[in-house]
Amino acid sequence: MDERSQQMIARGIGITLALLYVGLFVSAIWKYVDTKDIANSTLEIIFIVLIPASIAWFARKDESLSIPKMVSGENVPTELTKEARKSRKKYYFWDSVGFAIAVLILTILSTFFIEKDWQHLLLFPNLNETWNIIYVLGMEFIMSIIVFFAISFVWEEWNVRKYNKKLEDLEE
Amino acid sequence: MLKTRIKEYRLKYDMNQQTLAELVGVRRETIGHLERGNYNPSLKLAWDIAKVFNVSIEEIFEYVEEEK
Repeated sequence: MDERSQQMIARGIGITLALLYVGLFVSAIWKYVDTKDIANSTLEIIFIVLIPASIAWFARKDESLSIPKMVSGENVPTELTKEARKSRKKYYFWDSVGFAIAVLILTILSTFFIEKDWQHLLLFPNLNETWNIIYVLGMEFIMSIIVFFAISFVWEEWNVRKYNKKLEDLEE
Repeated sequence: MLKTRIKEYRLKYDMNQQTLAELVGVRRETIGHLERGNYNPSLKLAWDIAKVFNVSIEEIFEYVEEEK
């Protein structure tokens, strides 16, 4: 097969895989909303996890893929200067806030619209139901930010150090 | 297999990998991999690198037949 054919087929496969991936998500969510049983979406969830894992495995030699990216698509600065570290911490913080918001939205959808059971949120007998829910969800939100930030910081700083070490090796 | 003299020209022009990478629009590690022979550039990239050093592609890249 000549290189032009290879390029066209690779592009076609990439687009098809992207469509398949979106389809898997839609199918998994639809089945869960319809049956309220996550076990019915097991196959979809397996492939949702396996596909990016497989892609990551084959792309593991591309060092730049392990570096976190900003919303614009650019990599975060990887230097060890004070400004670069500050920029990365800012990225980790906003990334954590984004994750925490996503978790909060999913929790609200799941608790109030799918399962329709929020008794587990009523932890403070001195407060009325509404304030209980607000307080518990608020605390969960803040804890999520802290936990996601800690995980982001440790994992991504390790990746940045690994990346810089690789660059030093390639410079020699 | 493609052998390169990129590092030789970089040193001649006192240029680091990052600067060359920015000039030709690739990442720094790509230049590193090119120098080590881990990666074959596209024709356009080879052309752009040769243009930076004002030489022909053949002066920077040499194709060596692999022994079977």
